Amino acid sequence: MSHIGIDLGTTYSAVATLDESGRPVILKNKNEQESPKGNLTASAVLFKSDQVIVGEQARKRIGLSANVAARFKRLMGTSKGIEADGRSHTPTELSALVLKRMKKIAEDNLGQIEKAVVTIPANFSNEARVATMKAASMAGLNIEQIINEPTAAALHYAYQHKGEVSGTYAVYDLGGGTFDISVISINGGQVDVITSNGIPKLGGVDFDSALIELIAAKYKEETGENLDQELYTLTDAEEDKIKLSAKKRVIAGGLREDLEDETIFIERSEVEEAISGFIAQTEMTCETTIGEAGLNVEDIKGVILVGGSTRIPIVRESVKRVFKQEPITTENPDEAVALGAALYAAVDSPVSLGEVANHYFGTLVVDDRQGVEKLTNDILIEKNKKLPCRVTRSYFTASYGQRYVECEVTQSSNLETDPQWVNIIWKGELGPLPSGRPVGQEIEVTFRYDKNQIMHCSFKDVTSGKQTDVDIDT
Amino acid sequence: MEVIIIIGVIAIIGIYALVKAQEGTENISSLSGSYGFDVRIRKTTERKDGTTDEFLAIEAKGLLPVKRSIDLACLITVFDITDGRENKMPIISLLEFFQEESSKIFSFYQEVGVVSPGEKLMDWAPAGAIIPEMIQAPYSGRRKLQVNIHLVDADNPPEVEFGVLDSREGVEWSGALNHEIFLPIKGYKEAAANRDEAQALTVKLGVAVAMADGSLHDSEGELIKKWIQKTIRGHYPEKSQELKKTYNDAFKEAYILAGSGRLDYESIARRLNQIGELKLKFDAYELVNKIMAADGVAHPDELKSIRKIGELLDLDPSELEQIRSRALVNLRDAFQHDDALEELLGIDPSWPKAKIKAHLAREFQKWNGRLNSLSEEKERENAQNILNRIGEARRKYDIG
Ligand SMILES: Nc1ncnc2c1ncn2[C@@H]1O[C@H](COP(=O)(O)OP(=O)(O)OP(=O)(O)O)[C@@H](O)[C@H]1O
Ligand SMILES: [Mg+2]
Repeated sequence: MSHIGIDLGTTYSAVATLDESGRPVILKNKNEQESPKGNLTASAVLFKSDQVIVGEQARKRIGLSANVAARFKRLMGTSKGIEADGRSHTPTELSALVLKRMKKIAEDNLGQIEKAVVTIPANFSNEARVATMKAASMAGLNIEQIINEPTAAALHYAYQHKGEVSGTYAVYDLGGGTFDISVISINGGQVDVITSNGIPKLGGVDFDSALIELIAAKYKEETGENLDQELYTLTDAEEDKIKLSAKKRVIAGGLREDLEDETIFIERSEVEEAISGFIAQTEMTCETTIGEAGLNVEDIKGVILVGGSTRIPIVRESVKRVFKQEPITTENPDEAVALGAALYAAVDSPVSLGEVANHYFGTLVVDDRQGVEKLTNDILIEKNKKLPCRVTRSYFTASYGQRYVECEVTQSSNLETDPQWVNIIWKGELGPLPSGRPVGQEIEVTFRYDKNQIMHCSFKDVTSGKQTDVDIDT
Repeated sequence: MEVIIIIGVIAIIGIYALVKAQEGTENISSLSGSYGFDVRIRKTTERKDGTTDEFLAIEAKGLLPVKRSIDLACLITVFDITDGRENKMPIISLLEFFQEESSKIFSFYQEVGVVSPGEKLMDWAPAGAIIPEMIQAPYSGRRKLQVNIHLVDADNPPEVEFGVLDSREGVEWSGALNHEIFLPIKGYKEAAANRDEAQALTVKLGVAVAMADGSLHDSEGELIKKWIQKTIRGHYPEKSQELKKTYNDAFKEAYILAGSGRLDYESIARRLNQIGELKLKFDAYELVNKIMAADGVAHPDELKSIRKIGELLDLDPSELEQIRSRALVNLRDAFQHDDALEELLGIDPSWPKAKIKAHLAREFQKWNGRLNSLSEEKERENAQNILNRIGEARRKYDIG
């Protein structure tokens, strides 16, 4: 019975396991139509009569067929529906279809699957994380753990260099949909996360859209007409973009038949200009993250590039500029995450992982210290605290004979006091408490965050001993 | 469902600990009701760093005066009767928990639970509390209070407005206690003159920001009107009429001056800073931000005047930031005006490059983190837009 790791990507997914020698390997998709090279399967779904086709054929039809759904990972955890095949699908349902296909690929290679680890971006919202778990169980996977994509890549890196490397590294992960940056300390087989940040909506698909805008402007100039979306699709743009990583100039792909003898050229520099605002965003996030780790760039021993979009030359230049060093490149940056997930899923993993809190966790209270009452988010567990950890704090009831206390657990990426900027990830109440008691009864709140990223929260009325508990999988 | 937990009540608990220790007999006003039911007010003091905190505990004891099984609640209202019973004046609470639903007037409502005839409170039990530092009478100093205690049907409680019950129906028992007390907080009549002026200034600032782009939008005028209405609510009718006139006059005056470019919002803000309490200054800053966002577009001149107003009001920058951010996510398109970029992001182009870069990175991190917490599609889009513009700004200032 096998254990697998799945990288459920915005644009491409991969599945891996450890072979007999304990080496992580990508499990090939043997259907060439779905995956020409076999190692990656496009995260696109085509509904064809009663069939559901995942992979390359679906990717090719993005923007051309009303029966295709793609890029839904970015919508995970939202209530947004995706139209395809005349129906509305939730992002969770579509992700489940991709995961089901990945599971089948694994089964074709290995037989029955016992356990799987699925990866998510480092700063996925709690809703998106929960939705991913749900998708996995809909796909029939037995998921015990979820791990962050850059962390998985770091595990893989540590494995590859086992025993040889030690020091602080940055993992720079720019994929199809999201950008993640983590600072990690590697010591032989031990990998400890120091801090992570990410931009949820920044990746290759944004570059594809920018390229389409560019082409549309050129097309208008050339023909005086607006570019029909079907003439030059996101898929066309993606293919041209990939070519431009190797060449300085290409002919816009999808337009060839339409324009007959006219051609539209795209220069690499034009695309670079068009996406430079996005690159600037990644640079700011890198700088913030280094600062958050309490480090200077000089302290970073190496920058590990992960994700297909790190093949783009100006991305590499940007990394070099920010980190003041040549980044570490590998041949298949889009496989590292799945390989790392497989290492994590393994029974006797050759590498082990120390995690930190990825967010701030707190509770909502009324603060009247300034004489003005204000609903305030009070942080109990700070971001980047090493797991496991535990914090207890006392609060007090606000009114006479108060019989109920509202209890909330909040999550935020920054140190926010204004409740407007936090996510309430759990809500409950403590009570009924004994009646007739004066104001100011002590309520003890404890957050205990364990190694598996489960948050155990308790709200306890000290005098009566009554308490409300909840375990949240964060 | 009731009330959240508070963090700032440490002071109150301190007092309570002492209340228990002293169990004093001094300063007790009490009233024996029918059925041998008693209520009393017990004043206790605590010495803390040489200061004296007073705390009035309202307590009840004895056979509960009910004729049937009933879900009982206790309702407490308070008047200032220093000038005699016939001239009673309302008391304002500074804590929301002790306010009427529709005004800031003191009112305390607490459910007791289901009780039956014959049930008895064997010992003095807490029924309510008054914290002198958290209430405001017409004038500060020694005041005489009338504390009304009503036991009411929790399933059919009377409504209270200005301390008066709308009907006797649902009232099981009432009693009144008089109590003398020292009130440290400046009385509302004393503060009123300043406050009225401060609020008239707020109206003028509102007009100034609304007219910063040259004209008064319907949505902007509407907001100021609403603000005026909300502000005059909770006053006695005559006072409310008087204030309405004052504020409307302020509005007209400012409108005319602004129309001819003579409205000097900086000196208005300075004056407000001199006379206004903190709360009023925040109110003013909140109003001008809402006005900026009212038409869905941030005009660079609006932003500039708001920044200036914030500076002149001398408010805590982190509080200003919170108010501003709330307004920003509500914009239709925060960056419709290209030249608003610097103002919106709070950068001064004359800063050294490194400072601008660091500031932008902080702003980016802030908004990027907030994206996940926004539930409205529109707000998310706005925040996303802000992120993209910060990226562009970085490019603009990132030379080398
Ligand atoms: N040579 C290349 N040049 C430019 N972009 C490339 C190249 N190769 C792949 N990409 C882009 O990389 C992206 C896919 O990378 P990857 O598989 O790492 O992302 P993902 O896992 O699907 O997305 P995410 O991790 O963001 O959810 C696509 O947008 C693809 O167009
Ligand atoms: Mg990926």
